[in-house]
Amino acid sequence: MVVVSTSLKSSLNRVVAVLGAVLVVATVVVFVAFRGSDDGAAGAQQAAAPAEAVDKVQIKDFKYLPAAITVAVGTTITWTNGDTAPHTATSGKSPSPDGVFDTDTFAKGEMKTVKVSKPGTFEYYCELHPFMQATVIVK
Amino acid sequence: MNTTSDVLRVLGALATIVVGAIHLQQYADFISDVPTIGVLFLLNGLGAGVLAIMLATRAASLAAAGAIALSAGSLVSIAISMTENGLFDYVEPDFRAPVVIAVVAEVAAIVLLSACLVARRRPASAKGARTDWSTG
Repeated sequence: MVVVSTSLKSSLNRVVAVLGAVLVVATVVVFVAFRGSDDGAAGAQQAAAPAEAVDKVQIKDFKYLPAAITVAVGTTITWTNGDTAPHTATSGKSPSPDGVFDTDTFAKGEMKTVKVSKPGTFEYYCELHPFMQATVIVK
Repeated sequence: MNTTSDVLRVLGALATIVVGAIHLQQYADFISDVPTIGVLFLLNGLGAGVLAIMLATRAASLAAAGAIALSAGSLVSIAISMTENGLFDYVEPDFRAPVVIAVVAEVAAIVLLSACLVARRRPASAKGARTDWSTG
């Protein structure tokens, strides 16, 4: 029979307590670190809010950057997924795609393109994360 | 306090720590940018740490119940996030490795800590006379 002493039991309790404390401290550290980076991301999004005359959209940190773009009819727009999570760029308003364009799901590092063939203002969103929304203005 | 419940308690605490660590890692990876869900992941990590500390104290029964609730809540949340509408607009598209690890740890925490609570409620006569741990 193997006998585990009360001192070992105390040691295991200490291990659990220390690991728990490490987790608590790590959570606080991560919160503080990412709180700062969130402020920066929000600032970047705010700066990118006006429609820009570009045909490339980056997806980063669950945001389309820039959030609004202006392109000419016939332009091919490219979305690049810089997130770990997969995304889509689906025209319409969640949860109702309007069928104008849809990239389907694309993973980290992948690109999807859409050629816009008619003028108008088209809102789009990510079907997997509907809080992600942006606009394409076609002139 | 008996040997079986102590072993289950320590293993359950370790599983709870894994649950919290995975949520914290995912928060740092990308979930911090997801509204509402990000905060919930952070609270999960914090809660798991606090409960693990409590599991090493005399408040272990209360902590075990809390850790079971935390893991059960996480499991339900994962299930909801995999539905079409998701959880707070967040959809988990597939069983990514962190999701699998979290689910395994959450199930383990629920089973181990539930068994720990059952073992603690055993009649005093069923407990061993010795106060140290014995296995064989």
